[in-house]
Amino acid sequence: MKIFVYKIITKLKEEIKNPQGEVVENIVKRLSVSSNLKVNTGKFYEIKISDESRIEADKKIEKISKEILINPLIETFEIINVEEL
Amino acid sequence: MKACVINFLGSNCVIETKDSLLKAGFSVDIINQNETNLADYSLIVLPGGFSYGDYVSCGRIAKFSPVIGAIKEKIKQKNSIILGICNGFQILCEANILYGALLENENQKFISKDVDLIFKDKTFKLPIAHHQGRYYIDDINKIKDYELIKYKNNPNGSYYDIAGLYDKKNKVLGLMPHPERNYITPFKEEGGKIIFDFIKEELR
Repeated sequence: MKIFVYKIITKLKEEIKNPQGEVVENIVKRLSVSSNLKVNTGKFYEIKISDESRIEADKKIEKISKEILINPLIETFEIINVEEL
Repeated sequence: MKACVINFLGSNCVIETKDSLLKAGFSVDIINQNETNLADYSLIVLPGGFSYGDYVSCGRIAKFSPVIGAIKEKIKQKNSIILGICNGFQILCEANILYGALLENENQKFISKDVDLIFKDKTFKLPIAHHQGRYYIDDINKIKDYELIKYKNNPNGSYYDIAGLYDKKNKVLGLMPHPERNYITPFKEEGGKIIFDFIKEELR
């Protein structure tokens, strides 16, 4: 058995209004740090999983992400890093 | 007629929902999320609250409960109404029983107040109490056969002012406002009565 650690981010689709992101944009503009930015927000998950192979673990992480971590109507996910321990 | 209220882990509107159903003339059982035998019930209610602590997203974890599979089977028989109130509505959307999704309110606040609603040419008040009630839909045509409950003054940024939906074909009603709170409050029952009378009419 191998152990893999997946780092996954989920976020709202870009076409959906994200008030949290807008609040950050407004503060950045008010502080005169930058006037030209777009902020989106999301969630971060770290999942440690034991499996026979990376291919099998990938399949399971894909299923977990699609069915539990996001609602595909409004959100997307991205695996940003995978490490084998 | 017999109704049940599903007490998911974290549901907290079970008692007032039961009381309002009793007042509306139903006999009522409280069941939990592991129940799979819904044969006795002509009305199945998913109440408000915070099922599974709203972890990941409101209603996301509850959709994996055994009772949700049983509800999907029950809908096929077309002999009952499914009612989701607030968190119950969120669960129905997450489980793809109703189309759409509930996002965080546009003003990022928990909103708790009475709102004016429009349903079937009637205007009435019901209380809302939620943080994630901004109804989202990517294509309005997908709910063109639904009957809509709309906000008169949209409080949370819901698309098309939608506060609730009735899927007439499958007999599933989901709404963010709380008809049960209004119905059991003395002198304030009008809005709640309109919703419960509508349900009883649909069950006839």
